[in-house]
Amino acid sequence: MELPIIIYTLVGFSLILIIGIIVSVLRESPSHLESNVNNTDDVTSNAQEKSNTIIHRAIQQAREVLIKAELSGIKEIVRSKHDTGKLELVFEEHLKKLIEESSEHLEKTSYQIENHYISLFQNTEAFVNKQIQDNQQRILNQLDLVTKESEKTISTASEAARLELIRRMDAELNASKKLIQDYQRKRMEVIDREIVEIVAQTVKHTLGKTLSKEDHADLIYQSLERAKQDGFFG
Amino acid sequence: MTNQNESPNSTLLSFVLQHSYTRNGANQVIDLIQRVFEHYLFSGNPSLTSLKKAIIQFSEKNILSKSEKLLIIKLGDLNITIGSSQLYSIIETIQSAIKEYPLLIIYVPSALEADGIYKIGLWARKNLHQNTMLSFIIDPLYCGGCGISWQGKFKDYSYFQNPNNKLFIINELRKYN
Repeated sequence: MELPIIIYTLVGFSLILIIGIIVSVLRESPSHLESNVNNTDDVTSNAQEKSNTIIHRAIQQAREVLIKAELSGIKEIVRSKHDTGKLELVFEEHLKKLIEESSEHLEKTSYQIENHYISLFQNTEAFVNKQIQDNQQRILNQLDLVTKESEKTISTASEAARLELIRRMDAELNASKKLIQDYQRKRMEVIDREIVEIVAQTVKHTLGKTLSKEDHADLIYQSLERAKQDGFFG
Repeated sequence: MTNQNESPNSTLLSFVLQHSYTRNGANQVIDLIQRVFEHYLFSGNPSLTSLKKAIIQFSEKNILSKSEKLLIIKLGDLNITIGSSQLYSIIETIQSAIKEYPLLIIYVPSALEADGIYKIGLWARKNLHQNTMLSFIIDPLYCGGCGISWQGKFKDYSYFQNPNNKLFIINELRKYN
């Protein structure tokens, strides 16, 4: 689209330049002619005529060039417009085709994406389900293991606790038995002492009435003999 | 029966030892000897020309037990002569001698008869010391035996201090459970 305008512009500048050159030549010609006026009026008129002819021809040619240029520019514009339209058509066709292809591709891609996602979801679901099942199984296995270990630990601890309990109960029982036996023994000792005391008191009160003086003296005599045997007298 | 060569002190001391086995008994004998000799020496009765006469009169004038009468009769048989100035010194000497003799203290639940004391006294003089004097202390705690104190030592030999006797009593009583 910009090429004809540039051409037109160049042509215009060329024409203006040519005209300028011609005008400057013409301006110099009078002063030169004036100096030679006196020499030759014919030459001058011929020259002027020729120059006018040349100018006219140049202008004519410039016009022609300009026209050609304009024409060629118009043609170019038309052509370019025509080409643009064609190009647009082609482009539109291509674009439509491209759009169609893109649409198809997009549709296909969407379909593929959808399928991919469906597949992905299915795979993911299957994977997740498998993972869930695996995890469930793993958890179940772990739970079984923990349960077995716990049962084993509880069983061991329970057995140990039972043995400890039995040991402590035996110890408590033995201690209680010993306590009772000690208590019984002490009580019996106290009772024995009380019995002996009662008997002794009874004997004390009744001794004079029940024991003869001879027997009494004999008991003292026996006591002295026992003391002698014991080494009491040294 | 009487040795004329012996001094009145030793004669009377032997007499006392012969007729008493306890310290109290010895003191009673000494007291009786003193009373007899006081009657003999200091009564002022001119008819008492001999100790035997004085003893007869003393026994008539005083209420004496049978054993005391026998004792003073035996005293008269000693035929000892004691001056009035000697009496108290002799008595004091005998008392001091008795106090110096070894003393066997026996804790008994009730008083003993003379025979029992004699038996025990003989045993003590035979087994411990020839001049052992007894001293009986009545204490019902020591029934069925006695407590013995000798030269600073004491031991209970009563019936109930014998573990075997205690056990015997307890076992006997348990039969009635």
